[in-house]
Amino acid sequence: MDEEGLVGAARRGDREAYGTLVGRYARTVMARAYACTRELSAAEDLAQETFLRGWQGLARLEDARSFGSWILTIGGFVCQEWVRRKQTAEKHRYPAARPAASRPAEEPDLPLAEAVAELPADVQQILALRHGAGRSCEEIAQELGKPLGTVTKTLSRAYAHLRERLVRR
Amino acid sequence: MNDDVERKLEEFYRGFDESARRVEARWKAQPPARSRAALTGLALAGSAGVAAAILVLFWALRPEPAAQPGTLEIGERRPPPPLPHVAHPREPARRPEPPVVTPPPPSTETPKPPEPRPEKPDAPRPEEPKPPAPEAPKPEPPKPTTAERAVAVLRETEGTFDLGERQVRTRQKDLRVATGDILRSTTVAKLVLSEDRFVLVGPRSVIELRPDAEGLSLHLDQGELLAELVGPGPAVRVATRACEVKPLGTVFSVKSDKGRTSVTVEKGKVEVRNARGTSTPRAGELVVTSDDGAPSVPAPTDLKGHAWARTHRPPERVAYFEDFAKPGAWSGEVDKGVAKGLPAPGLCAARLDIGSERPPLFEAPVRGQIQIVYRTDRAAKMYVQFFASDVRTNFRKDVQVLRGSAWRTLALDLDEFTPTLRDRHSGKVPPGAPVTSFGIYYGEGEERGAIWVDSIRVVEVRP
Repeated sequence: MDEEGLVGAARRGDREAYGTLVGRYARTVMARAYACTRELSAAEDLAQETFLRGWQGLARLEDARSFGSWILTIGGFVCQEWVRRKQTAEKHRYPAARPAASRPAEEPDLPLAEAVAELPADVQQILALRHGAGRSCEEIAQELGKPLGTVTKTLSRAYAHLRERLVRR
Repeated sequence: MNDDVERKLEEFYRGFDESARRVEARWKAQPPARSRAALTGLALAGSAGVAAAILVLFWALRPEPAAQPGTLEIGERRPPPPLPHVAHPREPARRPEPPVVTPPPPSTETPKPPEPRPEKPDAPRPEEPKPPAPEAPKPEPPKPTTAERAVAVLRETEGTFDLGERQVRTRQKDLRVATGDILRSTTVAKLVLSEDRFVLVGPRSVIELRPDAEGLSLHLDQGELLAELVGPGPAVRVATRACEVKPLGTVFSVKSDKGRTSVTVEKGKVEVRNARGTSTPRAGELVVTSDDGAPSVPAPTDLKGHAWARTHRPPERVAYFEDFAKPGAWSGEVDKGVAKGLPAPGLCAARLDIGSERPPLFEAPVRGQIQIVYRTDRAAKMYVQFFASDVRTNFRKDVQVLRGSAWRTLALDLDEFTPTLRDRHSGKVPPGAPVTSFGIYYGEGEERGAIWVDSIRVVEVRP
């Protein structure tokens, strides 16, 4: 079933259909969340929260074809809330020595994630759609309602930024 | 270099495969928990339902006379009970009754009395069921408080814009618009009306759409638009605060900025009118008008202002094409599927004439080119000439052609043509001038030779 059909079915309450959409976009949403949290487990929680909110707000999605960008936007909001909560919690807490980061070996490239996290949200969204969801530039332009030139230029600038950041490290 | 970053990004995103599978599995394994707010809402709704049920039970068991089951009364038909305020508490008890509507004897009361007349609460109603009376207060058909909005269907739209509350972000087909819809464009928006008729709305423009029986009226509040109305289709009119623009089969643009409106015509002509006067610019001319002034006299313009629409229009348009495949408004000889010039002793070696008064062959475009595919049997001088009927002048261009059996294309810019009689007209071909005859004259005087012409094309190049 195509994406429009899946969204339509999910709107009618079909959990299977929404589960398929979750499968399609979990990697993209996870990457976005990981760029924010830098912790895989926290990112998974945020991804879960994102998909839950997506399920609850499906009726508000106007264009079924833009589910990808819509869910990523929700992911951005969820991440912002997480950052705010974390900052508030740290403000009211005694500074404690943080345990040394013991990242499991399979965790994704943290420097790249940090570099991605520095990019504006809309650029992260385009990167995620391009490399996470495997969309072509034309498809992204159509989905986001932006000119094709804007998308390619944004990607090009993002690559330049990431390259510079990675070289500096 | 980018490839390296792209490869890393691919790997980066692939690194989440495992986590993504976990997220997906968690979703599929657990029923989607509704939000707390939703649960709270459900709980509240449940409590409200229980309370309502208790109320229903209470009022149903009370000894007061209740309405007959299975009927739904409109208003009070029976004499009111002694307690005047009983109607209010009974209301919730009646609601859950099955809504079976018997053919109601006409009610004596309407839900809304026409006049809020203060009545004594204890006073019995003067008349109860009065059969003939109900005719007047019978539930009146809902009168439309607003006029029906005219609707039009745009064949196709492109670009990003808001149409009232709707957000249009991708190409749409058969988009319905109604009178009063406000279109706010973000990028250039293209509204296709029919095959060869469309309106391009410039970025950040605001237009009120007013379809009516005569066609589509566009009220330009801000920004600019370009209308290309070449083929048959619905009529389009444009209005701004300063003037009204009536197209006369044409291509034109309207720009509205701070009470000042400029109308530029690219093809044909338009009528610009307001309370203070009328002006009729033609192709290649501009008229400016303001809120408090008459439209200006048409002045020549270079159409550079249409550059914003360039990428949304075909770069060129064929204004005239003759391939001599069949007899037409031309005089010459058909030789193996192409036209051959006829000898004209004393004038030239061979000539090929084309002519049409009504309609004219073509209208001179603002920027255009004449392309002739030909071959000759000897090198000679040749001239191409056409007659513009509104200035009653011939325009001519001399060229030297080469001999050869191969077909060659001769491309002549319209700007290169000069008037043969300078006392009648000086300068270039006026844009929009109807051309009624066209000729190719090959060889001079008593020279000999032949020319074959495969096709003649007049191409209009967009600004």
